[in-house]
Amino acid sequence: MLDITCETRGEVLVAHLSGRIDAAASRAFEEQALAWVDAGTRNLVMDLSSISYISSAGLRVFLLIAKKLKEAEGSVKLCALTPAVNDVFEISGFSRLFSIYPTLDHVI
Amino acid sequence: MEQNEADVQCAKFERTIEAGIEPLIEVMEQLEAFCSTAGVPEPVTVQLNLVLEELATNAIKYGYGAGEQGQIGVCLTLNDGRASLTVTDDGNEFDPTVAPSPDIHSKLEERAIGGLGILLVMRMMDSVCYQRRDGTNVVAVSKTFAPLR
Repeated sequence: MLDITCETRGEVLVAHLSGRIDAAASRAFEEQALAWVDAGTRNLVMDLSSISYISSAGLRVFLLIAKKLKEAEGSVKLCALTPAVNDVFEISGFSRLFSIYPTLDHVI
Repeated sequence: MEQNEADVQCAKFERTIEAGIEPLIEVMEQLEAFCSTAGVPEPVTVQLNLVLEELATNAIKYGYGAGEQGQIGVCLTLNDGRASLTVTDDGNEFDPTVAPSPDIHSKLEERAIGGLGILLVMRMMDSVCYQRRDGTNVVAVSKTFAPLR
């Protein structure tokens, strides 16, 4: 189960993700992420402080959104990775692929 | 009292599910509850669930033809700080231990998603063994941990 709440801070869309990004949740997450880009979002910040679990299905969506925003000359930043998420990002090399900040305050 | 301790030290979780995402998510929730009751530390529970998800979703996505029904077996035994998880499926033959590793150093533009699930499985577990047995893929993984008391 994944909940997504959004807020706009100037030019930046801040998405607070909460729950689990597993094979089931990734479908809705992908739709939502693509909708952000389609709606013109170019600067995206994702707050992952309440994500307890992510699998490769979730990684796929992060990669997809990063590619889309790069094409559109936008950016995606991530913050507040929990140990479980950090583990997966380290092993998969995603830690080097993304701009990652300790807290939301560090990004904005 | 002694009996209870023995229960905690050696416990077994076994399920067979239809090869589909919804039954998988359900069994992952059950596995999590089982691990929590049995005193498995949360980070290890997360890893076991992740391994189950990666192996099972691979089978669901690539193991069966369109409209073909499949079955996935899940068996976790906990024995004195060692978790042994076996995931079986009756789909196409697939040995994750010899699957090519993805290039995790490539740039964003060249980065492909395939193979990351298997990489996570291989890196998070202490051992990963594969067998093709009677038309079934059998993947057995293990992980040692310090049990919560």
